[in-house]
Order: sequence, then structure tokens, then C-alpha cells
Amino acid sequence: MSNNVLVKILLYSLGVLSLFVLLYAWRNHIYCLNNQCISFFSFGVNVFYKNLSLFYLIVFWAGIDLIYIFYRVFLLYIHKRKFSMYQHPLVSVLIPAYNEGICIDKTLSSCLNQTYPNLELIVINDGSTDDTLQVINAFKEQNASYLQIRKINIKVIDQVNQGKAKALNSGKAEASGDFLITIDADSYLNAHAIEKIMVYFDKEDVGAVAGNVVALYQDSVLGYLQKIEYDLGVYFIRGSQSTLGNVIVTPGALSAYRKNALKKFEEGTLTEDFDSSIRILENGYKIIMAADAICYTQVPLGISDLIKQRIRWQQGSLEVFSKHSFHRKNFLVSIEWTLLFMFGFYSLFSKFIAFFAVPFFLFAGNYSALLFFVFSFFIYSVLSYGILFSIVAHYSNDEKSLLAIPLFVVYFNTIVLYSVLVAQILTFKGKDQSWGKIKRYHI
Amino acid sequence: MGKNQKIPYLSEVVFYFAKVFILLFVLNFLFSKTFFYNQPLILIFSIFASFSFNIFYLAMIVFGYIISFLVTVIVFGNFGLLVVYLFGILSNTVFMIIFFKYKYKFKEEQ
Repeated sequence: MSNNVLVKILLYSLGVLSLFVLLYAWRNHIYCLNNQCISFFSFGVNVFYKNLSLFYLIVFWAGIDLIYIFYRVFLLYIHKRKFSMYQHPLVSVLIPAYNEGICIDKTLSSCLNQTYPNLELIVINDGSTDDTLQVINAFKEQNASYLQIRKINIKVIDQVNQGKAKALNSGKAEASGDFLITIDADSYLNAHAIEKIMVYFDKEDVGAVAGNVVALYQDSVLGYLQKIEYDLGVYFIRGSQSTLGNVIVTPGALSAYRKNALKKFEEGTLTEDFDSSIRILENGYKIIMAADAICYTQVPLGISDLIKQRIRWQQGSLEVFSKHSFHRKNFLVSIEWTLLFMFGFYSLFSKFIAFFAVPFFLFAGNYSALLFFVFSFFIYSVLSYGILFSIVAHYSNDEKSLLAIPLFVVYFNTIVLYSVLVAQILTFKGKDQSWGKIKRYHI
Repeated sequence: MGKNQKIPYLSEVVFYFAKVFILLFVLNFLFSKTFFYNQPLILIFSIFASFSFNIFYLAMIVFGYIISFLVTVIVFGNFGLLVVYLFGILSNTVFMIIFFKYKYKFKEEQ
């Protein structure tokens, strides 16, 4: 049986299952209204349960989620644009680094192995306290003859610690190419990555191109769950956004920019990639995605590192939302902006608040309702992620990911939800984070 | 969870939940004596109010509570119960964004 047929069967069975869950929820809703729960706690659990019933919550989530999925699938379906670019303009590759001594030599090697002919590398050492600078200089000396043959120039900028956005701006000031490519110092490019990503700059209105970031999961469960999440971001979200040229976030691990489209990398927020890409869209340029320009990146393999990373992303997104919400955008970008707000922030919040209902059931002594609530929430989440993962598996050819859905829902989503909460608390307290200090691995 | 893995900021989250429940008790007691009593709204707004005791933000939360209550009770009557849930959270997240907008503007001016 081919993969496509398998995916279709899965999609249909998930659809039928979700219908059954809705019917079951409806029956339970009627049952609870007829058999009024007796409350001995002064909060009036009955009023709360009737007001915030499970049926309404599931209909609310299902309604919003299904509309969202149909919108994205429609965009993926109509995607037809073809690209062609036969020139090779000079490309400046910016690599900002902070304490990346353990892995930066591999990153530089992957840049030297590129099939694209016209390159210059600019490495910015942002006040590292380890041996990053020595590793860069040693690499430059070791590969001096090869660099001469390929006519690749490596510029090294050493500055005091100022953060990633300022490091990128110092690199941009030194860049002589019309196109900039930013990669993280813990990421490794596929040999064709730059050649593939540059093809997409076929028209003047393309301001930036986002690459395909693949997580190096190294046989870790947490790493594999992140790999699935990255695939979801690439094939489902960015893939559909790319149809209309409205990719909202260009990943820091691999992105290409037209130098004119971006005055400077936006400073003052924790997620400079998101901040800068939304600025490009506001300036009237398009951003598209190159699924065939592959970059492998290290992901945190420990829970505490993952939480720290997600807190930084959430805090950064909140800052960007507050910074750009009132800026003028075109209509289609506004739709994407609203969807990102709904699904990256608001929807997480609404699901989080639903969980606050759990203590009410405990106080009421209505344990069957509590169990039903938790079970239905789990089933609903498995179903909705099942639909998303089936679509992604169709593009990424990774059907194995479907088996990891329950683990993704219970384990990974809990970590993300926790990070969302901590990020809100920290932002309100005014605690900003600088460069994320996440453990790197030698590969 | 493997060895040497600590959950970051756990104490802050525990402290946050404590604040939510204290606020829930206090607000539930206070609002139960008024015309504006609505339990799901109190829950939602105490969750948001626990983030910050900044006067500006708290004023917006109270404003949001009253607006949400009036919209759902007067405009939608008893049928707008889901709207309580939706509108309460949405208005608060929007207020949160406005709050940050001013906060970061002040920061840039400094």
C-alpha cells in the first residue's frame, strides 16, 4: 500500500473518530444538565460547569482548528509558483556566535562545502567567554589554501557581548554582497542549501526566503518530538504561507535576505528573526519558503534547556506582538498575523484556562466528570494533531511520526504550556533574557 | 525525566498559582455581593490579574471585566455563555498587548 493511500485512510478515520467524540460530548452535556451536580463547595460548581461545559469548549476548539486546517490545506493545494534564477550574485553569509567553540568548525566546514560559487563568510564573535575566536582563527589558517582556490573570503569580527541582533548588524555593515544569509553557529548546511535558496530570489518583490530547518535529534525522544514540530512548521505552516508570500517567521538557523529589503536587523527583542521578517512584510516585500534548502540544527535534548529556549521564544513573540500589532500591514499579512496570534498565543491560553476548571470538579466530588474532561481533552488533542501530522507526513515522508502523537500531546505540549506561562510571568516582571545558554553537542 | 534535570522557574510558577487562588477567593467573595457576579469571568480575570499588580494593567482588567459582563448579559442574554469565555480571554490578551506596547515605548524613550 502506498504512503499516500495510508495517509488518506488515516485522515478519513480521524475525521470519523472526531465526529464520534463530538457526539459523545454532546450526550454527556445533556446528561450533566439533567442530573444537576450537588455542590458542597461555596464556589457553585454547578453554575461553573453549566457555563463552561465541555461540549462548548470542544466545539470552540474544533471549530477554530478545522477552519484553520482547511485554510492552510487550501493554500498548500493551490501552490503552483515556479522559480528560476541563473545568475550567481555575491552572497554574504553571516554567522553570529556566542560560546559556540564546540561546534562552529563544523558549521564553517559546511559553508565551505557549498556548491554556490560566489560567497563570503562573516563570522561575528559576540564576546564569547570560551575558545570560539581561537577555533575560528585556527579554522581559517588550516583552510587557507582551499579558501584561496574557491575565492572565499572569511571576515572575523570580534566585539563585546551585545546580543544577536547587534552582532548581525555589525556583520551586515561589513557585508559586500547584495544578499545576506544568516545561519546559526550550531547549524550545518546541506551542500546545495545556498544554491537552492538563492533560486527563489527570482523577482524583485521577494525580500527574504526562509530555509528548511531540520532538527538533529540524535536518537533522543525529546529531540524527535522537536523534529516533528519543526516539520509541522515547515511543511504545514510556512509551506502554506509561502503560497501568498506571507511567511511570518524566517528562522534564525537559515534565512536569506535581500539587502535592500532590510535596513537593519531589528534590535530590542529576543526573537530578532521574527521581528525582522515582520518588518520586511510591512515594507511591502514578500517572504517565501525554500523547502529544498536544508539546514540541520542542534536542538536542546534536556528538558530544562528546552524550557529555557521556549521561554525565550514566547517572550520574544510577545514583545514582537506588542511592537508590531498597531503597524500598518496589507490585508493578507494581517490574516497571517491574526492566525499566528490566535494559535501561538491566544489558543494556548484558552486551553490553559480550561485546565483551571479541573479543581472545580475536584471540589465538587464529581470525579467521573473530571475523568471524562481529561480523557476527552486528550482524545481531542490526539485527533487534531493526528490530522496535522498526517498532512505533514505526506510531504516529509515520515509516517513514523504518527506513532508519536500521544507522546507529543502529553509530554511535549505540557512542556510548551509551562514555558508559555513562565514567559508571561517573566515578561510582566520585566526580566529579559539575553543569548540562550543551551548545551551544545559535538557531532 | 533524566538525571540532573531541573525544571526552571518552578518556584515562580507555584507562587503564581498561589496568587491566582487567593485572587479567586477574594474576587469571588467581593463580586458575589454585586450585580456584576459571573463566575467564569472571575476565574479568567483572576488568572490574568495574577501576572502583574501594575495599576495600569489592573485598571484595564477591571474595565475588561465590566465590558465583557455587559456585552454578554445585556446583548446576548443567557445564551451568550460561550461568548463570556471567548470575549473575556480575547479582551484580556488584547489589553495585555496594549500594556506591553506602552511598557516598551517607555523603555525606548529612556
